Amino acid sequence: MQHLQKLVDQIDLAPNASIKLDALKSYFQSVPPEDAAWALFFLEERKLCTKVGTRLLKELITSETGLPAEMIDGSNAKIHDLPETLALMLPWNGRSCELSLSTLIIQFVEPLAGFAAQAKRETIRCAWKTLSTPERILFNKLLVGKFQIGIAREMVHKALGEIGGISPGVISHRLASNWPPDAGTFQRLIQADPENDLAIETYPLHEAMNLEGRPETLGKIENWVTEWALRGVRAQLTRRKDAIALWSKKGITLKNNFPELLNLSQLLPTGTVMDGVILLPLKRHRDIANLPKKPSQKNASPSEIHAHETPVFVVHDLLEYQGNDIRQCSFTQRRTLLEQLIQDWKQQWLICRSNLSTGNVNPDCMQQEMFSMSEIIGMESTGQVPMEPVRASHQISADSWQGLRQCLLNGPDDRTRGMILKQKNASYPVQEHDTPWWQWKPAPNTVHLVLVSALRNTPGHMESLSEYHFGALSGQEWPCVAKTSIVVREEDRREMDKWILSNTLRKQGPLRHVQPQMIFELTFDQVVDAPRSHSQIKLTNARVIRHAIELNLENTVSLGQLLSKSPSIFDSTEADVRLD
Amino acid sequence: MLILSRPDGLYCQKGDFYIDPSRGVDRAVITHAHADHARRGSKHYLSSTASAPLLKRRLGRKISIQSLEYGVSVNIQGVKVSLHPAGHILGSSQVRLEYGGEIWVVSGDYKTCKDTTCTPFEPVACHTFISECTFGLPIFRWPSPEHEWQRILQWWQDNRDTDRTSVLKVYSLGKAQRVLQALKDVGSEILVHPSIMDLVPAYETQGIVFPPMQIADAKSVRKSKGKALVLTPTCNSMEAWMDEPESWQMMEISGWMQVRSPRRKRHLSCGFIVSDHADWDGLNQSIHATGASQVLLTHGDGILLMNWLKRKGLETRILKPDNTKKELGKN
Repeated sequence: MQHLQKLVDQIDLAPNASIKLDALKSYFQSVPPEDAAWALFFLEERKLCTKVGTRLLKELITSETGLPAEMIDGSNAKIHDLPETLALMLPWNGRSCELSLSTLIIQFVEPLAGFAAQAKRETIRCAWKTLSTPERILFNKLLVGKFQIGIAREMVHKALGEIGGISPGVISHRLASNWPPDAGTFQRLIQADPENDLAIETYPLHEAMNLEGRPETLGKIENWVTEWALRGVRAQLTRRKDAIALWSKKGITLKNNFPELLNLSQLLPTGTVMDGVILLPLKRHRDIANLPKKPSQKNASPSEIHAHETPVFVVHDLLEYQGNDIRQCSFTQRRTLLEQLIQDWKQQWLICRSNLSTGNVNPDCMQQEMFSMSEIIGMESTGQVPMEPVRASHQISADSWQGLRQCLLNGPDDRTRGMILKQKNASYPVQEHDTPWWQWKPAPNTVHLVLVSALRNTPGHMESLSEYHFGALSGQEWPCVAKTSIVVREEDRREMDKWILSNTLRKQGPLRHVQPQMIFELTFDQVVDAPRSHSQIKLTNARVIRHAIELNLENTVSLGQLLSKSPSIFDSTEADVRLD
Repeated sequence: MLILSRPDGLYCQKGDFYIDPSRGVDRAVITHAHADHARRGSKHYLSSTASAPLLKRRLGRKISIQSLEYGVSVNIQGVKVSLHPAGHILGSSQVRLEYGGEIWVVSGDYKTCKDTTCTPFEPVACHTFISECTFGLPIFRWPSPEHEWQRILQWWQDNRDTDRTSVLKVYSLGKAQRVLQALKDVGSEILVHPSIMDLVPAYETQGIVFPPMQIADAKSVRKSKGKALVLTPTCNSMEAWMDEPESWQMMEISGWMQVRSPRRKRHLSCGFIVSDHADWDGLNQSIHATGASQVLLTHGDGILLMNWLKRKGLETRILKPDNTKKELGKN
């Protein structure tokens, strides 16, 4: 328990991510594997079933200290952390406890679920007596299952990966199943397993580069293939041997987010790796940060996770075919194989589906896997999902660059970012000198917005600002609609920094709020929905062009105008103007 | 009502004087020399003997000040006024007022736990007790100061081992001297900000011993980089003195450090929990020890404490907060 307490202290103390990472690594290396396994269990946001609610804990505190419930709630209203409030209400104890984390859990936490109310009270009281005040805070957090100490799961995976010399992706994949927190599991987790790791190895995904200039410079249009650049979750599907895995661009496993896709992939031939984008019907889930997640329900059925929304996997490239790396083949060849593969896949799927609907299912192989399928079919019949959960990307046909340009100007809705141009005879871009994919976006829009706040750099360091927030008027308020750290002119940045630091109205953590009065000209790509932000929208890819000193507040765009998304309100420079 | 809460501070109508007024008045009784209690501009001041030099230092040498030993009373227009130790900082006092058989005590800031730099708190029997309640929540229960001094020493040692300068943010009057006094046996390479050093002589005249220390400035801090313990006021940003952010660690000593969120907000690692105010238990004990039948709370959000005292059968009110906001940043 001391070690965990020390880790939490170090995490609080760490001024940057690399120090947090070091602290995590040294924790996992210094404690016995059974303790590490339990710590990992909680860091993975998993919860032990203790059947101890906050009500029981509050009652206990009342009986221990004589403080009534209203005092507990009143105090908690000041610090907004009930486990901490409860722990601080007990008389201070500075003496650390000798028990290890695993012993504590085995002795005090795990048995709780089976105990009657009185025994529960006794056990918890006994644990509180043994622990020091900071440790009681952690213990209470373990009991009620809100173990948030400011470490992202990705960082935990990275730390474990570095200890075991394996990629964080492999760790995240191994952790995605329902594993028991014991020493053996932890040791296996950080041990390299070349054979099986190979089966879930991923390829680096290529990111399209922005096309600066006219597409005409690329040569004849006949040599190029054009697809829409879709807004969704970029993913890589690997199917080798018995292992099926789905990865995000950064190598985080998406296994628990899209179980139906993984189920469908059982029908793929082994030795297949595909690159694509997962589209989600609900707008709010189109960013990876907002994916539907239910980490506490690792075995949740797809319908529980997605609740009537089924993702569509749009595959735009094939990286491995029949166990061979085909990235060196030309795009046309890869595309032919891909189309064939998807065709076969669909055939397989249709067979299974008809078997399922006629009740002619082989219970041995299909029952488990086709669970999601039946869900999908059920929903299809009511018209809630598209017919094709997997498809090859759509290719835009145009005779000339001019035609394509027209398409681009009419085309993009908020599901697309623009177009991607791929050379027909080029290999999958891996190295720098390979022909990249080009992303061709409509020219950015221009808008005038007001500076409302800025984010300070890591505190304790030099007073400088790292991100600027711009707002649009809505009633009396200026909710933030655009955030950016890109200021094109250095003198503007200096002027802004100086002004913000000397005119800060109010501080909110690292945020510096200022009087809305400085107006800037910004460019951006699109107005997209951002349900979690105050303004409900955000401007993508915003950049500060200049300080519009000649304008006053009436000249800025209001939130209502932005919400209407009418193009007329922006001084949109036509695509051609910019490209010329 | 012997004492009224006016916008300018606590006012005694019978004696026509203020206690800790927030602006200049004719006659001011000052509980202690902290800036939110002692303000410039009054014509006459009354304070404890130990507090007078500190007040002169802070408010100017030419102020008209009458000093009073603890327990000795003076008569102001028929009101019997005496000062009693509050244990907050050097010279801090409670003000006892007696008029027509009725006794009121204004606590000022006070604490009940051990502090060797000032006279310990003494409960004074009264009918009405005006108590501060900066930490009037049951989550504030201080660890023993010895425990925290040990932690500070350990932290300093750890920093020396990893070649980092230890920077301790403290309030320059009271807390700083308390820390220095606690470290008097281990002192080497302690650097203190001039604003703290300024106040040290007033303590030394009271017979308090400090470890050897140097004035902290850009040069001396750089010279003893990686080894020194630097004491600096909370408002001073160390950026002018320290070029590499990795080469130092900053901590704060305050009661607020007991809660994790203020620690994280201030981007400190783990603050040390030593306060010059009474904690929940201290407040309760002191209030009961006075035997007062009426309790008025000031300085802080006293709603929970008020409800708690009412539950215990004490008539309690919150005295309209005046300048309490400023109190929050301190201690």
